Formats: sequence, structure tokens, C-alpha cells
Amino acid sequence: MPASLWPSWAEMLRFLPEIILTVAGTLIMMLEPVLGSRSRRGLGQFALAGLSAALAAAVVADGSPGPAFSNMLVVDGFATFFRVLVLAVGILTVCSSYPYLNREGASSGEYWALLLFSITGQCVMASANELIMVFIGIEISSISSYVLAGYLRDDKRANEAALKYFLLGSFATAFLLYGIALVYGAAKSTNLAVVRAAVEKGEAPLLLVGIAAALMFVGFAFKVSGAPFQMWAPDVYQGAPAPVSAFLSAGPKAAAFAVFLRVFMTAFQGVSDRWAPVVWISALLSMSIGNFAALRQSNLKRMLAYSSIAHAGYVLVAMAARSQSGSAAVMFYLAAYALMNMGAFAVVAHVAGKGERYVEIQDLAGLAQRQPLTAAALAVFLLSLIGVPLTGGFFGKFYIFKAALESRLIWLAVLGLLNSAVAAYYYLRILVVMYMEEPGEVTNGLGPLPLGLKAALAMPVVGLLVLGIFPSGLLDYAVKSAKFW
Amino acid sequence: MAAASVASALLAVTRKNPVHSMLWVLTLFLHVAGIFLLLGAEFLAAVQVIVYAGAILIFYIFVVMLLDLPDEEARPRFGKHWPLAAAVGLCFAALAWLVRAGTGVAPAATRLAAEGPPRGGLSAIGMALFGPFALPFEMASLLLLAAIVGAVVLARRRAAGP
Amino acid sequence: MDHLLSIVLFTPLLGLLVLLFLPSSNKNLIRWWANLASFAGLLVSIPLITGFDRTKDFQFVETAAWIPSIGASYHLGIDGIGLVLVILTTLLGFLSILSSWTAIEDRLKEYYAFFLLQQVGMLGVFMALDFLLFFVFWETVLVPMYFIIAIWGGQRRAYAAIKFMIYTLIGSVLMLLGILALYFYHQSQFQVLSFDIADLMKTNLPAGVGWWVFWAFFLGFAVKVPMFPFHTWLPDAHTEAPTAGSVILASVLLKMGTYGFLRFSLPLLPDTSRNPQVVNIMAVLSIIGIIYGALACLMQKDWKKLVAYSSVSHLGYCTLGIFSLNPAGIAGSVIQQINHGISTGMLFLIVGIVYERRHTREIAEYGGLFKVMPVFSMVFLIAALSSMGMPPLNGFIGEFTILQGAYQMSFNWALWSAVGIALGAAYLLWLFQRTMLGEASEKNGKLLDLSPREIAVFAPLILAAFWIGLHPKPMFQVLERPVAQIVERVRPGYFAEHKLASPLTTPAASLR
Repeated sequence: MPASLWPSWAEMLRFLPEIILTVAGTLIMMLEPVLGSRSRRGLGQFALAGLSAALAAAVVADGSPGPAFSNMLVVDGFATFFRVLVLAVGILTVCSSYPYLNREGASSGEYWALLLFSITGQCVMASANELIMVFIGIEISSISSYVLAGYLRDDKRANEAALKYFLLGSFATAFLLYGIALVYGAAKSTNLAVVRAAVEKGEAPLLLVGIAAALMFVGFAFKVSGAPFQMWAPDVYQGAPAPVSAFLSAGPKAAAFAVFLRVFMTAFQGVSDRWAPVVWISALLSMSIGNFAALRQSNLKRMLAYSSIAHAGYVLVAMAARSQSGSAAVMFYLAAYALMNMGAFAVVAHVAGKGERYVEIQDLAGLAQRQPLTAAALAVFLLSLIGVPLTGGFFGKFYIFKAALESRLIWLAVLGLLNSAVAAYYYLRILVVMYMEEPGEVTNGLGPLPLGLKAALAMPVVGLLVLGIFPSGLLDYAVKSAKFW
Repeated sequence: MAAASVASALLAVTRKNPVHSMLWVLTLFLHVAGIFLLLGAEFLAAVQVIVYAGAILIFYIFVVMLLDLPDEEARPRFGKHWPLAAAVGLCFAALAWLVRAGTGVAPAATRLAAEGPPRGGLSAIGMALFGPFALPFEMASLLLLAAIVGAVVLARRRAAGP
Repeated sequence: MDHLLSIVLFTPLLGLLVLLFLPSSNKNLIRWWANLASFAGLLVSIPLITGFDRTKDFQFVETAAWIPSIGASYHLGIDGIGLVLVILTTLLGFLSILSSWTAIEDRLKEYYAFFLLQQVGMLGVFMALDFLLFFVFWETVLVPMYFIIAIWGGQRRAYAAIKFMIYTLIGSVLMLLGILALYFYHQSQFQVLSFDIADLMKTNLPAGVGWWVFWAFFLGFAVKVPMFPFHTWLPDAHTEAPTAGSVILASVLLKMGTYGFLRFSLPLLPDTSRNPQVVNIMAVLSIIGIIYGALACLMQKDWKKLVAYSSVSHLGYCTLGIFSLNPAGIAGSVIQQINHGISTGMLFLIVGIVYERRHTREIAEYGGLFKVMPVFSMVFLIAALSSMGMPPLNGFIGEFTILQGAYQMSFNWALWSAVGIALGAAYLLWLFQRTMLGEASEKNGKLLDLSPREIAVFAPLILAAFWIGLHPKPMFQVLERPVAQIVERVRPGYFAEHKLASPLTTPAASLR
């Protein structure tokens, strides 16, 4: 018999960000039919306000860490880090979606509501302390993401993207769920701490735990687009509307890594030397497949999709390190990565034009002469993706490879670093087109940068430079909160 | 009960008329529900009847009836991969047998039964859902809401636009 | 002043920030401001010379917390080697910006911004005493140079710029691995996280690890120098870069590589550095670089490419001097680095001047310029003589000292590098003959001689060339102590063994 059915206020506080997001999302849908078409445009701002409030709540909730709702959730530094990250991603997504939807004439309340729901799911994932919550969080996030990917229904590619994403995503979820069921069978609990204790004491049958870990690995690898389960990413990122692609490559991915890390570093900590080689191989495959495929792309969105596979590979390198500094490196990298990828996709959204007709790399020709600031922002993002100093990307990579060496993953580090040098080539090619070629018809016909996109470019640039010059604050926080043992 | 369910499953896959197949599946579901009931899992039995027999099967029958039946009937009953499917089924049966024999692959069914009163009782599930699992329960409703909104978005005709 | 180095380091950055807010339509304002900012950068570096105390090791030291959790700090300081390279950087940084006044017409703001940013990076490299800080500056330099080549370069600029970037990136990521390996060994031995060079020097690496770390560093530095066989990016980058870009690339950027060997490879990995096998490999690569570079020069039809290959040859002397591992070799190497900065800088400026007038770099297109542009030809003659090592110019001092150092190690080294000097004289004199002497063709007949601004660019360099050539003593004095430090570190007891007075132990008074 539970002590009290009604949660305490502290518990409510720890769950406040999710509550705010849910309420905001529901309100948006309820307000939409009531409002006139004019004030309906304000729904985007409303979503922004909801996200900001949730962000504030997440920070406040960090002040009273602890478990909530019978250990279903736990608010710790790790959870706060990822909550803030996905909420920031959400804010950037709203900023870049707003002008985009207006341009496409597809603005509607459901978009914002689904976005908020998806982020709710990711917040739940970030703070989940229970495999059931992990599953529900992933599902909320995914279901909303599937729909967002196919939001532009008249677009064939978007439809294809959504369908592919849905089918493969459901497939992955099935694996995950099967894994969870086996964990429950083995450890008689879905609570991460209990599972961990059972695994470490050897109470759970090792074979069963191993199969469960393998199945869950498949599920998570799908969600983070790690090889060999990366096939969906290029088609989905290419087909989905650019702001949604940006969101998909940052928000759900970061949250998926958060649960991936939490589950494998707690529940499966006891068998970590068994799953480490798998992560090792997956990391190498992701980096190599992503980078070498990206070399051959001419479509900007597709190239960014392959590059995001490669970046998932770098993050997996840090996971393979299986250490506190490795986990901290994952966190730092994901934060930097979210900023740079969101920014890059925001530029794509701007240049693509109505109906996303211009998404070839060649379409950026001469952007530097027509819109120097936009080009400079994209240059910062690309340099950060390469991992050049003074940008967050450098310290992200630095911490990852530092963690890898610390755990004696020397060959993985060498191969990863060589990979990142190869990757420089395709990012530099974009810079070449943007800075060296004469403006083409696309860049000549480019309208001014809308306010929302300005914000969606300025915030990541500033963030990346701060992370690149003074990485200390964020890193210390990450190290402090990456304690799973 | 088990024998009847196996029999109805066999009948379901061998009938020529899809509607007949469906009806056999229905009997299969009802028998499985009966098994659950015997094990003391009243809730599962109810869910089995309401969700599977009540909702999903009806949905299937709708689909089948909307399709062009004669054309469907004319085709051979089995695809060429049926031996594979049969093999998979047999494997599963073998696994189940192993579990029953308690060979250590998984907790034996007998051991589970010995662990005390059945936990699938209605009140036990109710207490769990509104006790420790209240949050997942609530979040699942959000999940459904999101799914419904998504379905509406995708199904709706394009809005006139602002 | 306590923050002198920071002031020198960030003056260009300040200039850059103001520059970004100037209206891009007002070209003259931007030009004036960029020149002013870089001149200010030169001025603030002068107190470094006057305040330098050659009896001390690292001076003007500044320390501030940067990333305490991993033991990286903002730690600046210079010794004699750092001093001369910092001054070289501020001087050439100013001159290269001054030389771009008419050469660059479009996208001025970005152009000068990249130059100023690059200036910060290069100064940081020569000042940093923290390995991570060094690495950050080291990589920062890449980006502006990439853009300078890529935007304002010649026909094949995209290819050259990407090649430059990828080559140096691959080198430096492997160097980063080496840094981290050293860092972790230091941590396991001392239980302290630190990237500070002074701390890392205490690390006692197992022989095998030292070997790997040495080659990891080697890749990073050798690509930059560039040593044979990693030099292939250089002719492309130099040829395609705009004049001022080539000047900075040759005069300062390449020195980052040799500086890296001096500051990191030798002091941090003394055991590996004195390993005869390693020394022999380095010497052979250097000598191949010297001879190959010189021979390649003889084959060139493109004026600028010729100068670029001459860099490969000259830098070969620098690395040879370093791996002679004796005071003469190392001091000679540093002086030769400065000399190369001066003379090759001038040679690139000279190519730039004729290119600006004729828009071709084909040597065959020129001839007889001596009659048309007498002042220009004199400047070229001085630059060429300085580059080939004729006394009383600066090149002689550097090359002679290196030969002396190389001779102490092996007669063969000295012999082969002497062959390189002869070849150097051959290609430079031949170049001079083909371009300056003879009759001027119609196209060359009306070329204008140097403008006052151009003379102002060359004047300080010519002065420096003569000064080092005629009165090199202050240079040697400044370098004596840091060089002795390195030698003592790599070959402990060197001075006692050779019955030399060590500058480290003798009282300061006797030095003066």
C-alpha cells in the first residue's frame, strides 16, 4: 500500500517542467479554435513562453534534487542538464519554425502543440529513473516527431520521411520494449537502481541480461542514429521540413543519448565490459559511414544528416570510455552539437526558400557576398562541426578523445581523430561554395533574414563561442552531474 | 482451454474465407482470456476480451470486409514462406516447453506460481496504477493525446491557411 | 607592466572588434584602421625588447585560471626564442597589412579582419606556456589563413586552401593525441592534472611511449614546417595565396612548426630526441628537404612557386640546425628562422609587386626590369643575396652557424647542406638574371617603380637584414640562454663535457 497517493509539493516541483509543457501544449490546441486568425499567429509566441517557463522551472527544480513519484523520475544534475538542453533546442526550433511556417503557409496550433509534447517526452526521458518511464518518454517524443516530420502533407518527400521514420522507429521501439520486458524478467523490477543491484550481485541470469542489453542497445542505437542502425536518418532529415530536421537531429537525439547513457551506465553497469566492445564497433562504424557518405552528398540536408550520424559516432566513442569523464564528454558534446546543428539547419531553412526548392550545396554560392552575416554564422557552425578551436565543437571533440585515451581506447581515438580530419573536407567544401563562388540566382533572390531566424542564428553563435573560449563552467557542471557510481 | 485455443488457432490459419478465419481468431482470444481468468489475472482477461476481441478484431473484420473478398479467396491460402513461419512457431513452442521444464533459461512457471497469491488481480493492478505507477499512467494518456493530435493533423485536409 | 604580453596579444583583437563595426562601404577608413591597429600592435611589442632581461628564462609571465578542472591555464611567457619570434610576427604582421593597400580591392573588411585574427593566433602560439592553450592558438591560425587563401587567392585557390587545411588538420589532430598521452602519463606520475609545459617536463615517459609521442608531435610540427615529405601543400598554398598571405605564411606560420620542435619536442621528450635513430631520420629528412627544395626551384617557371620551394629548402636548414642538438645549431636555426622571415617575406612582396603590375607570375614574361625599375631591382638583389646567404647580409650568419653546428655532428651533414647553399645561389641568381637583366620587352617597358608606400614596406626588412648581418651579437646574446637550456635538457652535461662556459651557470655580469 503506497504511503500517499497524492504527491508532495517537492515532487510536483521536480515534475514542473513537464507539467508546464503539457499544459501549454493543451492550451494551444484549446485556444486555436477560439482565437481569430490574426491572434492565432501568436500561438508561436505562446509556445515560446511555455518553453521559457519550463526552462526556468527546470532550473528551479534543480534546486531540490531527488526522486519523484515513487522513484519513477529523478531530478539530478544529469537530468537538469538534458532538460535544459532539450528545452533550449525547443526554443531554437520555435524561433526557426515561426518564419518557416509562415512562409509555407502552414502555421497551425497543432504544430506547436506537437512540438511541446515531443519536448515533454524528452524531458521525461532525461529524468526517467524507470524503464517504463523511459519507454513512455521515448514514445511521446517519437510519436510527435513522426508527425512533425510529415507535417507538410503536400510534400511527397516529407510524407516518405514521416512514414519511414514511423516504421523504422516503431521497429526500434519494439526492440526496446522487448529488452525492457527481459530486464523485468531477469531482475523482477524496472527500476534502474534495483536492476543495477540485481545485475551486480549476480542475482539476474547473465544470459538474460545480456540479451536484454543487446535488444535495448538496438533500440537506442536506432534513436541516436548510430551505425548499423542509421539508415533512416538521411531520408528523414532530407524529407522533413528543415526546422524539424534540426529539431530531430538535436532534441530527440540528445534525450535518447541521455537515457542510453543512464540505462547503460546504471542498470547495465555490472556487465559493462560486455557491452563496451559493441559500442566501440558501433562508434567506429558510425563515424566512418557518416563521414565517408557525407563526402559524396550534394544535397545540403542529406549531407548534414550523414554528418549527424558521424557525430553520433563521436559521442559513442565517449560512451565506450565508460567513465565519468566520458559521460561528461557526452554531455558537453551534445550541448555543443545541438547548437551547431540547429544553427546550420536554420541557415538551410532560410536559403531553401518556399517549398524547400534550394537545398543543394551549390545553392549557397556567393552567400557571403549577399548576406555576410548569415554566411559568417554558417561558417562558425561548420567550423565548429569540424572542431576548430574557439568554437564549442573543439572542446567537445577534445573532451571526447581525452576521455577515450584515459580509458586506453587508443585505436578508437586515433581512428576517430583521423575521421574528423576527413570530415573537414566536406564542411570546407560548403565554405568554398559560400565564400568563393559568385552569387547565383538563389542567393541573389534571397529575402532578408526574418527576426525568428536571426534569433535562431545569433543564439547558437554566441553559445558556441562561449563554449569554445570558456568551456570551464559547462564542463564542470557536466563532470559533477555525470556521477553514476 | 489450451487445447481449444490451439485448435482454433490452427483453424484460423487454414480457413479459406478470411471472415471465417477472423471468427476463429475471436474464439482463440476468448479461450486465452479464459486461461488468464483461471490463472487469477482477471484484469488481463478483461483486457483480452475488451481490447483484443472487442476492438482489434472488429477493426480487422472491417478491413477484411472493405477489401475485395472474391479476389482474395481465389489466391492460394499460404505464401511460399509458410514452412519458415511454421518453423518459427515450433521454435517458440520448444522455448515455452523449456521454460515450463524450468531448465534455467527463465524463471519457471511453477516457481512463479509458488511465490504467493496471483498478482494480476483487479485490485492489485488498480493499486499499482494509481500508486507507484500513477505517473506512467498519466503520461501514457499524454502519449495517446499526442497520437490523436498527430492522426488528426495527418488526416485533416489542408487548412485554408492564415 | 604585468600584462604586457596580454596587451600585445590582444591589441590586434581589439582592432578586429572595432573593425567589424566600421561601415564596409568606406574602404579607406577600413584600410587606415587596419594599418593603424597593426601598427599599434607593433608599437606595443617594443617594450618587450627594452624590458627583456636575457639572464632570466621566461619573462613577462602571466597566469590566470582557464579550465581549472582539467589543469589548463592561461599561462603566457616568453624567453629569447619567443621574443624574437614575437617581434618578427608583429613586424611582419604590420608590413603585410601595409603591403595590401592597393592589392586588395574587394571585401576589405573581411580581409583585414582575418589578418588581425591570424595575428592574435600566431602571437598566442609563440607566447603560450600551456600546451592546451598553445594548441588552441595553433589551430586558430588555420582558419583565417584558410579564408585568406580561399577568398583572395588565385585560380586554384579552392584546391589549395582545402589542401592546406586538411594537411595541417591531420597533423595537428595526431599531435593532440600526443599531447594527451603526455598529459595522462604526467597525471599518473604526479596525480596532478596539468597542461603546463613546466609540469609536463617533469614527466618520465617509458621509452616506447616517448617514441610514439615524439612522432605524434613530429607529424603536427613537420606538416607545418613543412619537412619533406609533408611539404606538398606548401607550393600550392603559397602560389595561390594573395601576396600578403604568402608573406605571413612563409615568414611566420612556418616558424610555428620549428618553434614547436624547439619548445615541445626537444625539452619534453629529451630521451627520444637524442636517440641516434631519430636524429638521423630528422637530419636525412632535413637534407632531402634542402636539396629537393633547391632542385625544385631550378625547375620552376612560376616566380612565386620558385620562392615557395625555396622555403622548403630554407626550412630544411632550420630543422637540421635543431637536430644538431648543440648550441650553434639551435641558435643558428632560430636566427635562420628570422632570416627566412625577412628574406622570403621580401621575395614574396617582390613577386606581389610585379604581379600587381603585370598580373602574371611567369618568369619568362619578365626581363630587363633593371632598367625600368631600378629601385625595385636593387631591393630584389638585396633580398636574393640575403636569401642565398651572402655576407654581410643576415642569411650568411644563420646558415654559417647552422653549418658549424651540423659539422660538429657529422661532416656529411655539413657537406650536403653546403651543396644546398650552392644550389640556392644558383637558382636565385638565375632568377635574377632572367627577370631583371637583359632587354625589357614592350610589355615591361612602362612598369612603374616602387611607390613610397612600397619602399616603406621594404625599408624595415632591409634594415633588419643588414643589422643581423653586420651586428648579430645582440641576437646571439638573447638566444644564448634559452638555447643552452634546451641543449642541457637534451644532452645533460653538454657544456661541461665540451669545456664550455654554460650561460646557465655563469653569473649574469660576465655575459654583458
